Amino acid sequence: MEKVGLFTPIKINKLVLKNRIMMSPAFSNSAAPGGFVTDWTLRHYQKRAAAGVGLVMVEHTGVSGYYIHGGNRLQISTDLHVPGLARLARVIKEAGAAAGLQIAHSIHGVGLKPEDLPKRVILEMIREFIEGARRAYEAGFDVVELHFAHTYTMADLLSRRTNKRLDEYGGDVYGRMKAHREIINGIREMMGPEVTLFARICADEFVIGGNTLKQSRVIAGELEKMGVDCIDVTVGVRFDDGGLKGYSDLRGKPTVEYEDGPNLYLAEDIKRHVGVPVIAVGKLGNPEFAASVIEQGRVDMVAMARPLLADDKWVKKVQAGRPDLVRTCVCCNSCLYKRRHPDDPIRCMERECARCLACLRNCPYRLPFINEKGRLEFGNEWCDECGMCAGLCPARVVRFQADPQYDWVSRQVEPAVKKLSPGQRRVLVITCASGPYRCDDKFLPGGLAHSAALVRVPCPGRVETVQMIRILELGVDGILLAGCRSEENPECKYRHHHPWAPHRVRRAGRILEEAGLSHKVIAHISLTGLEALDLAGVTRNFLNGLEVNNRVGEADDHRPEETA
Amino acid sequence: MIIGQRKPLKRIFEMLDPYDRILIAGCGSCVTVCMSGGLKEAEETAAVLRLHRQAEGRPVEVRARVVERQCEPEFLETLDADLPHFQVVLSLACGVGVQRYSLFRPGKLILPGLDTLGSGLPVRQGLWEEVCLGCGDCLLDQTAGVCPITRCAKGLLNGPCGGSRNGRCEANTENHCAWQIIYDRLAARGELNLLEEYRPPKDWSRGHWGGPRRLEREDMPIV
Amino acid sequence: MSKPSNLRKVLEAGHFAVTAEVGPPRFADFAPLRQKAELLRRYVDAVNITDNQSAVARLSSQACCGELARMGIDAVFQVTCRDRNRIAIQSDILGAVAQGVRNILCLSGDHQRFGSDPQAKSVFDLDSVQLVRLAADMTRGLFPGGRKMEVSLEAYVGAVVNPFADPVDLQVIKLKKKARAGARFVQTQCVFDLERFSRFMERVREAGLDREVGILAGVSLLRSAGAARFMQERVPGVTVPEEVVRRLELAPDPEEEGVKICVETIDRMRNVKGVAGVHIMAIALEERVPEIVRRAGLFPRPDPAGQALGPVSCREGNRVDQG
Repeated sequence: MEKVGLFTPIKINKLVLKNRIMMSPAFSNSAAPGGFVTDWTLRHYQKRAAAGVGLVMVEHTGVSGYYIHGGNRLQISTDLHVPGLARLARVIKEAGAAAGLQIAHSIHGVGLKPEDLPKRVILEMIREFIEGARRAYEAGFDVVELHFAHTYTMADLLSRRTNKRLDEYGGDVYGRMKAHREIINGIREMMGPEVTLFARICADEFVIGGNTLKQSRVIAGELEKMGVDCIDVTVGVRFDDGGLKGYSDLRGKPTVEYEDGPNLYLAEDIKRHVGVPVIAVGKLGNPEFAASVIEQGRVDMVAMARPLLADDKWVKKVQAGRPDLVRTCVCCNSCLYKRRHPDDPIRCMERECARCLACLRNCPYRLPFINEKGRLEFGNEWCDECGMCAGLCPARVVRFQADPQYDWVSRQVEPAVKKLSPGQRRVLVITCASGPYRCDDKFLPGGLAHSAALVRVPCPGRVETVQMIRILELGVDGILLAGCRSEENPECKYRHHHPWAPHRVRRAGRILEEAGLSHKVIAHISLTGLEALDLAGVTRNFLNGLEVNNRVGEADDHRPEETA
Repeated sequence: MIIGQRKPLKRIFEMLDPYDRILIAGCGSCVTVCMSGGLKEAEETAAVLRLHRQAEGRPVEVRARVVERQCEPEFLETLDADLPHFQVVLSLACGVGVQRYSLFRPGKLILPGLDTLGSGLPVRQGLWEEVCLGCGDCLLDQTAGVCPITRCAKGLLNGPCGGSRNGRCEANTENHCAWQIIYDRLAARGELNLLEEYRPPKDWSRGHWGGPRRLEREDMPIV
Repeated sequence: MSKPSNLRKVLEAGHFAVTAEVGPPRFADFAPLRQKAELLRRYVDAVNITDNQSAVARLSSQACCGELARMGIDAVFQVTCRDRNRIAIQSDILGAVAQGVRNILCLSGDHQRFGSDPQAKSVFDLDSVQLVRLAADMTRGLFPGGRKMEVSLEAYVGAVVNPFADPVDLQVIKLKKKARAGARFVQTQCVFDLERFSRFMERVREAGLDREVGILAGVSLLRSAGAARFMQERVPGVTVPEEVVRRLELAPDPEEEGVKICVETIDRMRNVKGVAGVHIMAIALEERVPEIVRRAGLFPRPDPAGQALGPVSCREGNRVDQG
C-alpha cells in the first residue's frame, strides 16, 4: 500500500481533496453588518487557499438571523447572503482549494438553553439548517459542515449536561440527536447523496456531566449511519462550566503549556469506531508532528486554524520541504482574545511580542530559546507551568491559564470585595492557593467578614502591581499579600514567583506615594506555619496598622489646607 | 533600543487635570522591552489615574491601548476608531513616538507620558543603561567597544579625569568609570598602545550639534 | 611686548618652584583677591586662580588673572573644559594673555553634579589633552582649525595630573599625552599619601616625563579632621590617609598641625626625584601660606628679575629640560 502522508490526496464522497490539510473554521470577525461577506473575508480565505490548503472550511455561518453569536459573524439565513458567499466559494476554488462552509445555530448567543425552546423553534431550526445547506451548495461550496460542537445549539442538544428537554428531542443519546438526524435526512433528501456533508462534534466536552468519549462514539457512529461523509472531531469550548477561557474552552484551543495535539487521542478513538474519514484539530501546527499524525494513520486529515493565522503560507512551506521557514504559532490565543478593538478582524498577534526576551532569560527551567531561524520558541515539554514568563511578559503575549488573569480582578476580586460593608475599613487578603500554606475562607472568622475579604491565587508573588492598583480602585483601603516562606516550601512549583511579592509591593507603594495616595496600604507578609493558621490575627494586625496609618494620613491631608 | 521612564505621576496628573476622557497609548517596541511604556504600563498608568481621580471625587474615563510602534503612522491609524471619543492622548512612547503622533493627528492633543533616556541596553533583568549618544562619528574601534562619550560623565576622549576612584565615576559612584572599563578591556587584549594615541577634538557637527540630522537614501523614493 | 612668565623662568632655571592657589570671590569685587595676592607676593612664584572650582560659579578666572597681572604678580590662569566650548576657550585665553597673564593651566574640570548648579548642562567640547594642545598650538601661532594667528600667543602651558586616580597606568599615559601635546608644567592633585606619590613618581621617571615637564606637587593645608574627612569623601580624586586624619584629630591646635603636615610634606617633596616644585592649596587659609613657605625654607623666592636669591640652589634632578 502506498504510504499516506500530509500531501496524499483523499477522496471523501465524490470530492477529491489534494491534500489532507483543512483550514479549520475559525471566527474571523470580518462580516459586514447583517452577516455579509466583506473583502477582508475574501482575502483572508483566498490567501490560505492559494498557499495550498486542501480544504478551506469557512467559519461558522449562521443559518438564522436571530439565533446567532455576538460579533461580526457571517450568515446564510436568507438568499440575499448567497451572492457574497458565492464569491467567497469562487475565490477559494480559483485559488486551488476545495471550499467548505460551516453552518451553525446559536441559542447560547441569545442566552437560551435547550429546554427553553418550544418545539416550533426546533422545527424551524431544522428547516433553517436544511435551507442553509441548500444555499451553501448553491453558492458553490463543495462541502457543508454541520456545526454540532462547541457552544452552539446543536451541541447543547447533544450534551448530556445541557439537554434537559423532556420531549423527543431530549432524553438518551438517540433522543438528543433526533434534531441532527432530521437535519441530515432533510439535506440528503433535498440535495441527494452526492453532496459532501461533514459534521463537527465534541469528542469530549470537558465539562462536569458532559459528553465524554462514551457518548461521542455513539454519536459519531450514528452520524455515519445518517449519511455524514466525514467526522471533524473537536473537543471542549463548552461554556456551561468554566465559561469563556475556562478549562473546556482552553482544551478546544490548547495553549502554550500543552504538548502537540493534546486532543488527538480522542479523534483517534472516534476513528476506530467509524468507517468514514476523521479530522483532528487542536495544536497541530508543528509540521513534523502533523505529518506523523497522518503517516501513522491516527486520523485522516488534520485541521488547523491558529497556525494558518500565524503563517498563511504554512502549507506551501511544508510542501516545499522548508518547514524551517514556517512562522511558528506559539499558541498564545491572543488572536482569539486580544484583538485591539472588538471590531478588528482576527489576526496573529504574535508579532506583538516585543522580543524583550524576559521569558527566555528568566525561565527557571531555561526552556524558551532562540531557534536557528532566530525566532523565539518555547520548548514546552518540560514546562512546569510556573508562569514566570507570563508574569514578566510586558506585552502580555505569554499567558497562562493558571495566572491571575487580566480579568481576575473583575471576576474574582470584585465579587469578594462587594460583600464587605462599605462603612468600614475594608481590606483584601490575598493568600496562597497551592502550597501547604494555602489558606481557606475558614481562616477568616465571622468577626472579620465585614472588613476583610480573602482571595486565593496560585502564588501571591504572581499578583502584578497593576492588579494591586486596580483592586484599590474597587474601594478597599488595603491589600495584604500573605505568602509563604519559600525556604519552608521548596517543592512549590510557584516558588520562583515568591521573591517577587515584596518587590511588587514596594513598587506599588512607591506609585501610591507618588500619586499622593499613601493612606492606602499594600503590604506583604511571609507567613510561618503558625501564622497561616492564625490568618485572622494577622489580618487584624494589618487592619489595626491601617487604622493608625490612616490617622496619620488624614492629618497629612489637612495640613495643606491649614497652611493655605 | 530606546529607553525611557514614566514621568513622575504628579506631573502626569497635572497635565491630564483638565480632561476626563483620556486614551493612554502604549508603544509595543523599545519601551515595552524596557518595561516602561508597554501595555502593562499603560494599564498601570490608567489604573493609578483612575484611583487618583477617585480620591479627588472626579471620575475619569481612561482606556489603555498599545500599538506596535508609535513612530509609524500606519500603526497609529489602528487607534483612530477610538480617537474621537477621547479629549486627549497620553502617549507612553519615546519622544519620537509622541512627535510622530502629534504630527500625524494634529487636531488631537498628544501628551508625553515618558521621559526618554536615550539609547540603552539591558544590563540585567530590570536594569537598562544608556550607552550611545548617537554622536554621528563612532569611535568604538579605538576604545575597546566602550563609548567614552556616553559612558564617561565628561565625555573625555583622551583618558580619564582625575576623579575616578576604585573604578567608579566621580559624578556618580553607582556608575563605572568608562575609562577604567576601556583600560581593562584593552589591557586584556594587549592593545594599551591605543591609549597612547592622541585623539583630536571631536567633530561635533556630525552629531546633534550640527542641527537635527537627516538620513536619506536617494534610491528609495518611488516617483 | 611684556614680561615673560616668572614661573617658567624659575622652573627653567632649575629652582624649586612654589605656587599657591587663590579662589576668586563669589561677588563682583577684586578686593579680597588683591588682599590675598598681596599676602602671597614675594612668597610664591605664581598665583594660581581657580576656574569655578568644584563647579561653583565664581568671579571669572580670566578677570582675576588679569587683575593679578596688573598688580605685577605672575598669574596662572586655570581653564576647565566643563563650562566653555572651544570657541569660548580660545577667546578667554586670548583675553587673559592680552591682559598680561602668562601661564595657562588646562584641566577637565570637576563634574557639575556636586557644584552650585547641578542642573547645568556641561560642555566638555574638548578634553584636557585637547585643551593643552589647543593652547600649545596657539603659542606656536596656530588656531585649532589650523589657521595662522597674526601674532602668536606668549604663554606657558601647563596641565594637571592625579597620582591617586585609578588606574595609575592610565594617569601616566595621560600625562605623557599632555606632555606631548605641549604641557610644560604639571600640577598634581593634593598629596598626603607620600608612599603612593613616590611610586607614581617612579613611574613618571621611568617614562622620562620628569625631564619633559616641571612637576609641581600639590600640597594642601587642612584646617581640621572634619575638613580632611570631607576632602576624602567629597572632593573627587583626593585621598587622605587615615593617619593624617588621626593626627589632626589628636592635635590640640588642628590648624597648626595642618601647617606642620604641609611643611613636612614639602620637605619630603624636595627629596623626591623629579619634583620641580610645590603648589600650595590653602583654600580660605591663604594667610598661612607665607608661614608655610618660610618654615619650609623656601623663602626668599628667586627674584622675578632673574637672579637667584636665597638658599634655593639648582638641583640636577629638578632641572626642567625644555627639549
